[in-house]
Amino acid sequence: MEDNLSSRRAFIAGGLMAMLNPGCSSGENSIQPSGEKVKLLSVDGEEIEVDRAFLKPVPDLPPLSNAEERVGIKGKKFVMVIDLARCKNVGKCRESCNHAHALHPDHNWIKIYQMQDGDHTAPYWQPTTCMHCDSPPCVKVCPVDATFKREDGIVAIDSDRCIGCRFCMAACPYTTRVFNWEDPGVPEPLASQHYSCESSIPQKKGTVGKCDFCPDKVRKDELPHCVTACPNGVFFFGDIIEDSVTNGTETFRFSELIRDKAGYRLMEDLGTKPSVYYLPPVDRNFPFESGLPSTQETTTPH
Amino acid sequence: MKEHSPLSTEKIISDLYPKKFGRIGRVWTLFLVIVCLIGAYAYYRQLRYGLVVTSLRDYVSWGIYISNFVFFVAISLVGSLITAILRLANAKWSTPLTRIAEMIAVSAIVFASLIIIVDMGRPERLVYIFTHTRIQSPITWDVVVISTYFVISLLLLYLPLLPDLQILNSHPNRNTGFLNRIYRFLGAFWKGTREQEAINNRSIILLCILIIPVAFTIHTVTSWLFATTYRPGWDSTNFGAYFISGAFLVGGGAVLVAMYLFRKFYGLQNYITYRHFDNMGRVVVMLALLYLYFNVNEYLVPAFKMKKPEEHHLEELFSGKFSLGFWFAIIVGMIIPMFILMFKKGRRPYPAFWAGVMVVVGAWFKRYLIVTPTLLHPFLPMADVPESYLNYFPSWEEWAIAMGSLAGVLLIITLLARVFPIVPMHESITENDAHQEN
Amino acid sequence: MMHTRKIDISKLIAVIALCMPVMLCAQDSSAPAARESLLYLKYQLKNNRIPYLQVQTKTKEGKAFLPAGNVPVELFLDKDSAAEALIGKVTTNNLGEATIWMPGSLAKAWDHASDHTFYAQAKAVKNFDAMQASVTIIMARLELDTAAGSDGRSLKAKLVKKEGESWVPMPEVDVRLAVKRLGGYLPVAGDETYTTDSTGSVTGEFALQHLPGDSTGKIEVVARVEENDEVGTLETSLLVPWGEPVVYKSDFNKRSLWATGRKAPIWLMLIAYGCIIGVWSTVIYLFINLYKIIKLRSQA
Repeated sequence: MEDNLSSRRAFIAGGLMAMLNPGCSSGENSIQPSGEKVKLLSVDGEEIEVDRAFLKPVPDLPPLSNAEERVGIKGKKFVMVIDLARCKNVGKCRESCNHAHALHPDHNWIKIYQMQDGDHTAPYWQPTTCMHCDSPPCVKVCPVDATFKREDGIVAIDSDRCIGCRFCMAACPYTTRVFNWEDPGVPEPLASQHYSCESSIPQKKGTVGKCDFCPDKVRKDELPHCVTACPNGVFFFGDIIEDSVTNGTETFRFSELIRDKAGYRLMEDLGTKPSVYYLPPVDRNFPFESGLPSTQETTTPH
Repeated sequence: MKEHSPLSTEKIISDLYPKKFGRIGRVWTLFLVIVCLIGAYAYYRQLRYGLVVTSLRDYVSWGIYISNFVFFVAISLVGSLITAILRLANAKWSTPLTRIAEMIAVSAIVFASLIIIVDMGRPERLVYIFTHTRIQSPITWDVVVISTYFVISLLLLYLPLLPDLQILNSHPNRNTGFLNRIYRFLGAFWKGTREQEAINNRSIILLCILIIPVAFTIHTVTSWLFATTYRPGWDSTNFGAYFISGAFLVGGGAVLVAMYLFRKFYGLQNYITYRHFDNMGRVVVMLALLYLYFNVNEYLVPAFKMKKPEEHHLEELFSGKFSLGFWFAIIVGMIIPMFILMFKKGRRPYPAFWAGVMVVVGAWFKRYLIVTPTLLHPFLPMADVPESYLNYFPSWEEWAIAMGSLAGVLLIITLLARVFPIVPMHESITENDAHQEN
Repeated sequence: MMHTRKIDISKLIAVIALCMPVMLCAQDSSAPAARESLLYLKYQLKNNRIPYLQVQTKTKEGKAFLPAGNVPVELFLDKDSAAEALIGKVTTNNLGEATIWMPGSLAKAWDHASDHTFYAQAKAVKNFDAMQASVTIIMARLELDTAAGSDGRSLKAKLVKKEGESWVPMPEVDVRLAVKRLGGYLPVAGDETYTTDSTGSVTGEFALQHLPGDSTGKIEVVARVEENDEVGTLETSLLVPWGEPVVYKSDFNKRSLWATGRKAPIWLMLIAYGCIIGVWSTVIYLFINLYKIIKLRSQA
């Protein structure tokens, strides 16, 4: 676990430490200097004065207004690549997502399907998130702007706006949306915090929920929960403008990955233009059977 | 071919004058009120605990609330059919039926709007539809046309009622004080002058023209709530016409039922005659054929191709777990009533009544079958959900609310029939006079 | 080509625990059941500037690794206690993490040796037992610069460690040369791996063609030594103008069926509002007629 810890921490510190070095320009979120300086020690043993505002493990980002959450992160267009050759239905993506968003126990924003396209085609495991379509059928039908398409490509939900008509659920061909039929039982202190369209927390009774691509994590230069949780590196997340996707360990150019592995999108014929791409289950890392619940009991120690 | 002999004006007024409830009327009203109250209690539970009290879950997220909504919208179309289309077609025989049709239309449209609010997870945010309107959403269109149709239907009930209100106002002793106040409020200004009549007749004709496109829109837009999605069974370009033809059929059936019941319980044999049943029966046969035609299109064409997403859906309807309901809706809801009404003997009041009942009941199941099976057949397999999400059978709260809303429609019709003449008095008198003069 | 990571299951669980949200911390503070407290300490250096330490506190409960938040940890330089060796005191956040930089007050002790041992002492609190951890690191610098490659686009990184008063090259250390990307590091030349030579250097060609950069075509390249037993994690970055200038034109503001209500397509608004105006003006006309009828009552 050591390297995961450090690489993930490095994202945060990367943005932060870049501030300490004027030569770098990574962090996009501006931090206001406090004016209060502290003396720190460089690796060479020199004393350096640094503003205290920069000395936080995760920079205190100003809270976003609803209007900002509806616009999204400027200059980004998120994309996900799911490598079916690596999935063996471990379910850690689902588990971490459920925990992170404090979902109702009945709910899974990530679903893992046991797929078999034809009688004589090979079965495979297919995890699905929200597809964050560029022509989202769910957004088309929403009567009150409760679900909306952001500039960064994310389709988000405003649970403070949703009237609970569930038209979006009927409209989504990927059945990605869930409804809070009862109080989702969000624990404190999350339950009483103000709803954020970026973290989708807390879920609210009588409104729709779904995968949000974790823009709150991305703002901190972290990866979505499912990406970091997957032990097999199935999920790749990135910015299509940067032409790169990463699962935290491996990073690829998006265009090359899609070209070399024949990436595709689900139900392309519907014209929904998803932001989630799939790599077909060729040269599998695991036999399909290893993902069956009966096999998993013996192969996955807890 | 007039079957009845001319009647005196006094007789007409006394026959058609709104009557106090008898024992049956009181029991019936009480029964409806109780059903409504049970529904209201179920809705209280739903408000308190959330939609979890229903059997709706993530796959079947629309259930009998929505199918009931579609049913109500469908049945409300009858107002435009009987009143507007037949009036514009100069089918004079339909005059005694117009009030019944309009009463059904108004009460059904009221409960269509209510049941949609019941279906909402956050009914207290209803106002957002007006404050955060997205004109792109078919729901917005539906809200607009339903409210428009409600206003137009109300006008179409009200304007032809004005001359009758004059008659009612001229007999204050026959009315309770409360009713007198209502009649005076609604119609004290109507003196029946030529000018008033001229304006009113113009208005009614304009209304009859206006209500036809609005009625078509209301049900077309309702069908678009389904047809604008990708779902197997909903993804159809045929849906608007399919829904409208179905709506006219159920409306026609409902009028047959109402004709029979009002005729029987209000003693209107002289006004709603065999001839009306005969004509209405013919209309229903034509509508049943039309609807059957659209059904053939709707099911035969996809079944011929058997596209993968449709396959499971169609098999479940034709021979799977929905087949009983499906064939019931087709055979009992369309074919049998059509055969009954094809024969002159079948168009007599009693068999026509039963044909109407079959049409209405079949239509209710048909709406259920349009909404629910589709949702149980998504594109991706059903996975990662609790067992209870995989099936749908309405909970008692849903049944109570659905039945409560049906009872609510009947209650409004019953109360309207208590307050206003079921058969237009003024028009009956005028036509009777015209007949005498001939 | 992609390779599968081999990861033992404890790593995997720990990673998941790492990603667990706030609520789990809230829960575990109330659970006095059998537990094992875990304390991790890391040394990191970015851009050869100010070294910092990362502390992580976790609790193993049954099979689950949960972040242990709100644990006070004291950190010391070269001694496992003593006030003059105190780097500082931190309290882990709700993800069980804390970071601390080297304070200027330790300049003397810092210069004293070329390697340092860092000690972390976690105090016993309700949700955490007293624990300590230490890590010994040789001070090192990782330098990154451009170098003349075949097409003039090469990177050269040099790793030097402190030995006495001087910095000497460090051979046989794996270095990554990559482009900083959202959440990850894109290797500059595919599967190429780099190990420092006798001069402590690695040279790598920047083989990424037409890589999107910022609006002026600049990209941030990094050299990284990851989790090295001797020198910890070092990362040095550099901005180079080797990318394609990218200006992203979003169609976010276009009128469309999936835009917000205010950005509905014109054709749709014309049709919809046209219908509404048409029908409602007729309805209003009918109400005017009704009003006329009402006005006519006096003439009767």
